[in-house]
Formats: sequence, C-alpha cells, structure tokens
Amino acid sequence: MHALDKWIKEKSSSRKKLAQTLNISTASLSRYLTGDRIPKQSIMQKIIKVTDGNINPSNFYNINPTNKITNKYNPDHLLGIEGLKPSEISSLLDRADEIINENRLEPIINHKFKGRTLVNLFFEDSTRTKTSFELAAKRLGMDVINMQIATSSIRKGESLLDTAMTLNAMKPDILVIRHSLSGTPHLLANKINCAVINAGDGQHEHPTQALLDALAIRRRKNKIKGLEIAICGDIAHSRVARSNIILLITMGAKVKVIAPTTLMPQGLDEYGAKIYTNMEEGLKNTDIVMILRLQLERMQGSYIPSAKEYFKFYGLDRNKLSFAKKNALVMHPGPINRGVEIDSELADDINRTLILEQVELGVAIRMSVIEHLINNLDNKKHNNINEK
Amino acid sequence: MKNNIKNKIAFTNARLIDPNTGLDDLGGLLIEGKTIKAFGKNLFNDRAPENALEIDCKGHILCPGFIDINTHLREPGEEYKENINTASESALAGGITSLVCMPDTQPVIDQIPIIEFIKKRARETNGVKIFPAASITKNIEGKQLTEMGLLMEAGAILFSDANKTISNTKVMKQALTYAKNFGALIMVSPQDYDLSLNGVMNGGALASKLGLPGIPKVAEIIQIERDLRLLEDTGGKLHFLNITTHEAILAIEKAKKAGLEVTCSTAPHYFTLNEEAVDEWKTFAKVFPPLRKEKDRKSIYNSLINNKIDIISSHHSPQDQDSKRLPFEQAEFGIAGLETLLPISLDLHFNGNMKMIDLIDKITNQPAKLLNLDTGKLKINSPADLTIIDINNSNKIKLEKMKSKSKNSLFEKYNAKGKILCTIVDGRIVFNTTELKY
Repeated sequence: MHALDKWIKEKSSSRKKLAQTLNISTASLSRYLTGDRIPKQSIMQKIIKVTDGNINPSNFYNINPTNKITNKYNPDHLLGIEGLKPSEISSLLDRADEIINENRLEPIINHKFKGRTLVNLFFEDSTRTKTSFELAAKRLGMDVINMQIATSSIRKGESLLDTAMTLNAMKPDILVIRHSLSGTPHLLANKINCAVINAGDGQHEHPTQALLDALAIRRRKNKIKGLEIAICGDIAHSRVARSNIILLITMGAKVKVIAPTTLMPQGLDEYGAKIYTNMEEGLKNTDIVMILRLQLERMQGSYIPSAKEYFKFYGLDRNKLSFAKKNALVMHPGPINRGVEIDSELADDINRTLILEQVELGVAIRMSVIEHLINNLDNKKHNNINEK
Repeated sequence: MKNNIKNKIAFTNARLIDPNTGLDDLGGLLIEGKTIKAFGKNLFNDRAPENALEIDCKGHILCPGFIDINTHLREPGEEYKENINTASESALAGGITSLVCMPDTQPVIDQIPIIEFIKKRARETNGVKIFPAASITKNIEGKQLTEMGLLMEAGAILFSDANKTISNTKVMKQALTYAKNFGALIMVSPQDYDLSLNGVMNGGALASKLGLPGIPKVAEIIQIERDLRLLEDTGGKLHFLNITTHEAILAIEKAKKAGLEVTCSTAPHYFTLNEEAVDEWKTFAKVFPPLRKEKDRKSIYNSLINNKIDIISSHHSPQDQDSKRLPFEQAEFGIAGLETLLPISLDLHFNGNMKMIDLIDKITNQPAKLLNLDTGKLKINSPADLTIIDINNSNKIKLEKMKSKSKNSLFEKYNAKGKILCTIVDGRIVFNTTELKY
C-alpha cells in the first residue's frame, strides 16, 4: 500500500476528499498512487503541507506500477475507425477526457513516456494535424522526429517501403503517417513493428479527426447516441467524412449526409447514413452540423460549376442553420474556406461553432491514442517475455 | 529426351478431343515430323507402330495445344518482369502452344523492326509459337494509324492498342475502315478513356469504402456500344478483349445477331473472382479492366457456358514485386495467367457443367478461327501442336513453382483441378511431366 493511502486510512479520509483539498482530480491522484505518474512540484508541496511532512517526495519515486494497465482498445495500430468496437472508441474518448481535465489547469509535462519516440511521416502538407501530434507526444515526454519529405530520400527515388523499413530499424514506438494514397498506412503497418497511426490516407480515413469530433460532441451534448448529426459538403473526396460517418453510426447517432450529387460517393446508404441533396431538408431537427472543407480544385471542372453556386445552395449561413435545432452546433475540421462552405461571420461565432475547440481537443485525443498504443505495445512485449 | 530421333510419335490410349470436328473419343494419334499424320479411334488397335516413339496417354485428354490471344510478354523493354524465354516456358507449362503478344512493349510494336525482333527472339527460344500483334496507332497514342499493310506483311497477326482505348471516335472509325483493306482484325480492350481515367478498381460502394477512385461499369458498356455502332457503319472484323460486365455481353450478342463480324473474350479472373478480392488494398487484385461485382462475375461465367463469349484468354500481365509492393493507386495492373489458364477455367466443367469439348473449344478452335491459324485442331497434315491434360489431378497452385518470371498470381494455394502432362509444338515434346513415361 502506498504511504499516502496509509495516511488517508489513518486520518479516516478518502482519496476524493484529499483530491479536493489538493485541487486535483481523483483520477490524477490515483495515478500518483499507482506510480504511473509523479506529482509535479506545486502539487508535491501541497501534499507535504497537507500531510504535515508525513509524506515526502521519496514516497512517489520507485513505485512499480502494481496494476497492469488494461486497455479497452486492443488493436496494435490506429489505421481507421472502421472495425472498431463502441467500447474501444469510448476508451479512447474517456482517456482524452481525463487528459483534458488535467491539461486545462495548466500544461504539464508528463514523463511517462520519456525516451520513447514518435515519428511524424507526412507526405502531404498539414499544419494542425502534424503540430497536434507533435504537441501530444511532447506532453507525454516523448521524443518527436518530423520527417521532412521534401528533403528526404523519397525524393531521391527510395521506395516508400524502404523508407519505412529504415525508420523501423531506428525502433520508434509510434509512426504517424499521412499520405495522399488510400491504404498506405495499412501497407506500412504490415511491414513494420511499431504502432502506426493513420493521420489521413487519401480519400479513405482520418481516424483521429473523427475521434476528436466525437469528443467535442460528447463534451457539449453529454452523449452521442441518439443525436442527429448532419455532415455536409464534399463527401466523395473526404476522408474526414468517411471516418466520421462510421464512428458516429457505430456510437449510435443518426447520421445524415448532405451534398450535391456530384460530391456524393456511391454506397453511403450501406453504412446506414441518410442521404439528402437539399440543405433545408437535411438540416431539420439536427443537433450537430459538420461542415467539410471544399477542396479548391473541385470548384473547377465537373464537380460543381462555381463557388458562388455552391455557397448559395450548400454553404452554411444563419438562414440555413435556422432549419436545424435551436441549440444546434457547427463543426468544421479546418482549414476553413470562408464564404464557400460556411459564412464567415457564422464561423467566428463562438456560441454556435466548435471550430477552435476541435483543435484544442485534438491534442488530448492524440495523447489518448498514443498512450493506448504504447500500453498495448508494452503489454505485448511483456507477454512475449513471459511466453519465452 | 526432347529430341525424338525416330521422328514419329504414337500417342496411344488417349481421349482425343477436337472441338473443330466435335470428336471426343478414345483412340490414338500419330505424328510424323512436324505434322499430324493420322488419328482416330482404332488407329493402332492399341499397339503403336514399331518405328515410332510410343506415349501411353493412360486415358487422359489429348487435344490441340491452346492458343492464347492476349499475352503481355514484356520484351522488349521490361525484361525484368518477363522475357520471351520465361514466357515461353510458362506458356508451355500451361499447355499453350501459340500465343498473341500484345504490342504495349517498350518500344511499342508499331514498326517492322520490332516485329522482326520478336520473330527472331521467338526463333531463338524455339518454344511456344509467337504471333505478334501490332498497335493500331503509333506508340499507342490513339492518334495516327500504323502502317497496317506493311506490318501485316512483316508478320503482324492483328492490330490492338492493348489495354488502351482509342478515345478519339474518328481515329477508331478510320482504324476499322482502313483495316478492311487488308482484312485485318482489330482487337480492343473496351473501357471509356475519361470514365476510367485514374480509376484503379471497380467503381461503387467498395471503392468508396477503400477511398479508391473507381472505374464504373458503364465505362465498358459505353465503349462497346460506341465501337459496335462504328462497326455497323464501317464493316470489318472486331474483337473485344476482357469482357467483365453483363450489359457488354447483351450488346455484343445483339450485334452478332445483326450479322456484325464481332467476337469477344474474357479471362479466368473475371469469371472466378469479384471485386471483393481487392480486400484491403491487395495489389495483386489490381487488374485492368477491374474485377467487378458478383452479379457480373456470374454473368460472365454463365455466358461462357451459354457460348455468348467466344474465347478465354490468359490476359497474362506479369509484374515484378516492386511494381506491386506499393500503395494500391501506384501499383501496376495485372495478373500472371499463362499457367493458370486451364486449371482455373476447369471450374466451368466441374461446377458449371460445361462439356470438356466446349471448354477446350474456347482455348483452341475459337482463337484459331479468329486468327485464321492452321493450328488449334486435330487435322491431318496440320502442325502437331498438342497438349495432354489430366483434368482430375487436383493440386494447389504454388507460386514458387510457376515458370513465369513474375509470380503475381491471385490464385496462390487455390485448389484447382487439371494438370498439363505434356505439350508438343511442331511435333517436338517441349514440356512434359513425370506422369507420362516414354
């Protein structure tokens, strides 16, 4: 038993009461007690003060985590939302929630994964996703390597798999990959030993975006099940749409998809989404409106005739939003094309939109995913050793 | 062993099958030199002539050697994928004694020297008979016609732009019209250019799910309907390769009834597999045209049994590992198919109740008719191009045993019946297994 637990018992107090006194969550406190974490200095001082010096910093070091972390998320990688169980998705969201509650107080660096490495392998430009993964890893104490593809060997003609194998030989723990071709993370995951996180592959999936969207929804609406959620825009070419549709339906939401027919992929009904081509009709009784980015190159050619026409019929403004529920919220994965898919002034209305919150939650969700995957990696190693 | 000094081979105890005449009976066959000398039910009265090498067929099928109308040899230009020697070995092991090689090599077969080169390499290899197809348009660009007359004189058997479509309707019309001067056959793999551009698998729900650009069914149907309209206007001979859709068959059937000189073919993967074979970005299942839905697969299967599709080709498209070990969209199209042509097609006989003679028709007599070849049949004084097959021998297909240089087959570990026991080209035994002793 941890010395602090003994002290709590002696004082006939409880972990909950102590956590309140220390102004931290019970979850954090229990993590200190299992040795998963070490209290930072300000908390440590409070603990010393509260316990009249009975507990000192040495009580928190060299504790072997007693209870092995049991994940509800079992896969070795996060390659897509498809195939995940509701319990696995919930596990990722729950942990992110805890992380937020800790983070929101003040940014803390947790040395849990000190010495572990995350590689960001981005074959496509990205600002928010890449930074978000980098920040998440750093908050977990990890080393982060950002692969600059423009200057790397890929440009020298090295094949994708050779690059991956080279990186693999350096034994990173996590490989985050974004690629313009669908299925690339799956191809790599088959060939390498570390955990692979899909940060967006072609027109296939973008699982962490869908997870953070789900988290944003759950935090505002306290549930996902039963909500009516409309996803609007370029569904055909959007990996965000695919991941979101699958996740929300898996979690029991009613998903409606609104897009002009040229931007609607075949086979959506097979997922269980309802299909609309008219915004007013589709938005009726909606709790959440997700707006997707319209790629500029789609505005010429045969998908839609002009940005003007698109905005008139499919751009979200206050008038169209009025068809949704009164307290309906607006989401957008960013970056925004103001005046194309969403009215500029509406995009800035913090009472109606979750756009910046989505970015903030992105870090937490990625921390949660990294934690789960590294725990799985460690459990697997542990089991392998035991088997030997 | 391969040289037969006696110059005569007597096949005894054979089940002779000749789709050309409808023969399917036990008997014997005698070859002398390069040609078939005699054959029939009571030819030897179960005893071979003294001065001939006797091969006891043990009741197995002895039929004309197969003719494949759609092979990609990859030589010249991509010899790391396949060359004429390895393709020949592979073809002979598959019972194929003649093949048409597609012109999409590097350089393209659009000039006489390239035809000469292939003929020379075929002579050196001295295995399977190779009939080069020349391209319809220069460099397969769909713009300028090739010198069809001169190329035919040099040995081009037909004209095709291989997997590429001539998107310019006027060029296609001119090609059909001009080919008539020489009675030349035009062969196309129909797929609308714009609709199939950038597509990598069958368009539809599965493609959406995998995030891959699709090639819709309608791309094939439109192209066939366009070309049939043109043919109606121009006349001439047209063959559609790689038919994968139900509607395409309906269109071709209608055109045949209207009296157009049109024929069509498909390949074993199109009637054996559907788009589900792509699974999770399995690049071995990336073929052009793409594998379609189950409904279409079934329709192709039944159309072979109902004789609405004339020919089965191997669509042999060898690809080396590095061309397949890539993200799906970057990987090359193609399946290596020479050695699996018969074993995979035999499903039509065992599970589709297709008569053996009808199945063999589609890989011997029909292609011979299409190409006007004096082979593909059992006929006295015709070339002794023969194959002996044991259709009941069931074994798993093993990639490492394949003779093709590239082993990009989707049929690994596939339980298939049918084994080629012996292949004879121009009276020479060029492939044989230990089952038959002589």
